[in-house]
Amino acid sequence: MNQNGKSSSDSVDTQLAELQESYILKLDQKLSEILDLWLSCKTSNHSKDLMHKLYRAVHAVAGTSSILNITQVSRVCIEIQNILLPITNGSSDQDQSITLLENQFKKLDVVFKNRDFDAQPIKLNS
Amino acid sequence: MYIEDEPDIRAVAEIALSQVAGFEIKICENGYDGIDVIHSFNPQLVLLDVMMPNMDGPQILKKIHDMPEFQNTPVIFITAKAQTEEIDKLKKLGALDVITKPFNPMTLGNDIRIIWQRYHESKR
Repeated sequence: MNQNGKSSSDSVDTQLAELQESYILKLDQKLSEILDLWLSCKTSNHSKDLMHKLYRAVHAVAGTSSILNITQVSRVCIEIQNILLPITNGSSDQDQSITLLENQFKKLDVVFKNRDFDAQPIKLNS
Repeated sequence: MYIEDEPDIRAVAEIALSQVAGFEIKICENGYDGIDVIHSFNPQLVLLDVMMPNMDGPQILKKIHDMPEFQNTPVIFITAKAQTEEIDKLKKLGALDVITKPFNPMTLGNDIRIIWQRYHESKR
């Protein structure tokens, strides 16, 4: 690859690293909101509207953290998303799913409190 | 043209499609903006997120294909819903193909090129 190619791929790597860093700074708030939403869902006896709201919030973080290679966050949020989707569609055993969700949100809480996000590099030439 | 409501995904897509893949790209944050600019931008291809508030991807696809000048514009959905039945449902709505999230920013452009080539070969 010529000099121009090397510098342009470095530039893309740098931009992606900056995006990742910028998103990590927002993660505290996003995860805190998700955990608060989960508490609200529990106190509301898992109201349909709140569960939908929770699904959208988790879905957004799952998607973005996956693309930005923030692996621990994406892993847990994808698990939560996959359990939530059939609940919001009304197609799952709610009691069993709530138990599974409880476990996953405990994991998310640990990730949040320890800031154990596990961000991996996103490199053009990895 | 790419319509996506998540700002961080828009930012990654801008890099992936414009700088890495070399496409001329217009990125919009919702269907209303997308419908506003579609005439001036005149895209050859539209990428649509599926799950968006107010107007979701399928609704935007319908609006685009209801416009006579864009009725044949190919559309690719980009979605986290990766089950076969969901993908089949999206294709039946008139999408050319579906790319699942998370997409790899390094290869997204190439994935789109492959779909594009397949589409043009099928038209011969």
